[in-house]
Amino acid sequence: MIPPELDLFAAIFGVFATIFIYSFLWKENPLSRAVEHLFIGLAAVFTLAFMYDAALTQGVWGTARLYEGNLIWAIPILISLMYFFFFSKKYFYLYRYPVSIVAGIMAGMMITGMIQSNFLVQIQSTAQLPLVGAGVWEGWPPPGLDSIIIIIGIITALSFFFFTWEHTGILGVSTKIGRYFLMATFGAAYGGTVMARMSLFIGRLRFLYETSYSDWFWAWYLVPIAVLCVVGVALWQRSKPQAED
Amino acid sequence: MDWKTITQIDRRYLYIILFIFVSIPLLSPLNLPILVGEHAQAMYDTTETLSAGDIVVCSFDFGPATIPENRPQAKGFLFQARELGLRVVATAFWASGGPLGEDILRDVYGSDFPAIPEYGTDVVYLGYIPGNEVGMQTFGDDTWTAKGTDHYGTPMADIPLMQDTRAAEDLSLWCEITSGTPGEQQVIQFVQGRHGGPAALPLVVGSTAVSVPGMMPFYAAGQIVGILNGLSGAGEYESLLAGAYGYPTELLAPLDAQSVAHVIVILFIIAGNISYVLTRSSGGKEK
Amino acid sequence: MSLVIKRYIPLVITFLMGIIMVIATYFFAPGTPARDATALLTGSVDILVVMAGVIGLIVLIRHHSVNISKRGRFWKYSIFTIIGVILYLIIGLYGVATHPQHLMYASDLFAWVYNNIYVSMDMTIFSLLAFFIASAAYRAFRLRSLEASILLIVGALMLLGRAPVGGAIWEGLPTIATWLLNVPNTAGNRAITIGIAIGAILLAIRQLMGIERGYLGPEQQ
Repeated sequence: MIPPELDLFAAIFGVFATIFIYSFLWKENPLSRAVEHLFIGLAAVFTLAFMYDAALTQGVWGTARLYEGNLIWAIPILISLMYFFFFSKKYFYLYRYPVSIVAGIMAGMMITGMIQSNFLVQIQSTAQLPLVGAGVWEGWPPPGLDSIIIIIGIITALSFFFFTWEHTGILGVSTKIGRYFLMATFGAAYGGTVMARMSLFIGRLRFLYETSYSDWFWAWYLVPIAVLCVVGVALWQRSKPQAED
Repeated sequence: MDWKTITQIDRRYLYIILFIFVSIPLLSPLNLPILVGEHAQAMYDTTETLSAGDIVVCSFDFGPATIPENRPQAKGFLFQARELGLRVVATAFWASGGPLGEDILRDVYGSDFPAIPEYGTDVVYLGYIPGNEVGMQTFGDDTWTAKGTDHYGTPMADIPLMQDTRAAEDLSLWCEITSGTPGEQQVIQFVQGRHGGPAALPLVVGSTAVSVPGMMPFYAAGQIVGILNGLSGAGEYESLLAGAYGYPTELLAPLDAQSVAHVIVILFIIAGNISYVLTRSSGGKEK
Repeated sequence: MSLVIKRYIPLVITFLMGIIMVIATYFFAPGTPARDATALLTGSVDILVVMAGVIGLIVLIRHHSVNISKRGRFWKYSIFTIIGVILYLIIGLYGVATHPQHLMYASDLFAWVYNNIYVSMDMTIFSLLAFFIASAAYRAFRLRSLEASILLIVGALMLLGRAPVGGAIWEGLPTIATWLLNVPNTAGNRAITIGIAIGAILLAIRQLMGIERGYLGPEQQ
């Protein structure tokens, strides 16, 4: 079990890390850079840890795995060791063997997956849009009108990516309309991007305002101290302009 | 007034405005009403149609960068699944989702998770399954081959719920909580598409708002049946769960802050364009 | 001969693996032994890709160690990276020693550090984008043309309609935002989806045929 006192440490660390990283917005400084580098170090070990666990839980411990005597799982583990020839000049080509296995399987999967779900089903779904029938032209906007807009949008937007002929005449008109549809798509994407990034920022603010420990400690108590640290470092840097970063 | 000066305003003033105004509703919520949209309602309704004992997958395919959006989505879904008596196979195809998913499960099933009586029968946590989309395909084809043990090292064959979950055919719903690749498109291509299509394995998605526009073609084609669109989608879902099951709401203040942030961005765009027009009309060139 | 071992055999392996995946998908039903065999194949890939990541890790640690020893650019900060590596590795090894199955990533303290320390930093770094996007909204988005105007207006309607403030201003705004997502956006994105599918399939075929060889690394080695 994790001792609950560690939560206090997490809150203190979190406030300083947050303010130090945000100080980057004012100007890049030693504190923001230090936290970024610490982050890279932790990320590296995290990568090692999940890989180590994955190899154990996938190849060694589980049902019908090496531990239960199924030696077939030794093969991928041995082949995977060939990745380390990446560091050898003489035997670099052995590194290509595991890479080629992964590349082949991924390419084969891509063909089957993409054709079905991203190509055929999309065309089929467009062809099945309702244009006639009960209720198709009722209400506002009527589903039939939506269908027509989607069909025109897909055809014209696809024509925009068609470079065999010059975009003049009918093709010119079509690509122009297609461009408007694509712009609407990018507008929706822009809206989504702003929403997502703002949510993240709100998440950080909630951490600063809402994190507490045992009723006597609130994370925001430390915000001024962290800000003073940043100001202190900025002043120290200004006093030694010749110093290395 | 010198419009050029306003055009060249230091970006740091914009940052300060954003920081202050977004903080206000978090400290003093505006309590704006939440209107439930079509996509969140569809996610809720689809889950409601399942019967107790049905097996669902909840996949935590996101990283720390989207916790504010994805965490409440996943928490809401797990809560609804538990209330309905669904059996949950939780997993992650993102390494970063492994510990995050465990934390969410502890929130829903109690801090003792996995040392709870229903572990192994009603809920199981497989943790990270490596291989990205390859891992997904393997999981759909044969769950025991995709990973040898659960997150805690217990062999698959020793877990009763995994005895009943051998392939995608045993699943009634896939809930993909995602913020990128592998995500909903990979589930569609490599699991749903290979195992009977949307009719056999419906897919609901909780996603970061960035990815939602890109998944609409799949929603229109029925490959995805319900979507939670970022923080606002999570808020809508939360209000539905609060109405039906008394789920504790926590997103009212953040959504108010989101509203303020959106208004600020729109005001920035308008202000930027006004200064652009005025600078041009006075014959100046925008920097 | 050496060319055969160095280049041709990997290309043949790629081709065979790809063809096996395609044939197994289209010609063998789920549950048949041939299909199960492909599950075993993809299950093995899960282990292969794991080891590929270790290479990246070694390269990173080597880079920062060399940077410190040679007093390279920002070498003092590389010390923080190495401190992070050492501390977290100690916690990880403690996890391995105490966990019943000797797992590191699944051990309690390791996961706690991830959820409480690492996540704080990761979230904050990514949330910087909120500020950049606000600044870009002021500086970059200009109604210069009809195309730019469509982009901006759709973006603004999405922003208003997808947050509670939209419904508070006018109940129609969320409906408009949903319609924009469901209709014009679906049209544009479906065209992009189909385009990407064609591109990805062609790339995969080129890879299987040995035309695309970038993944094998430099030619001369």
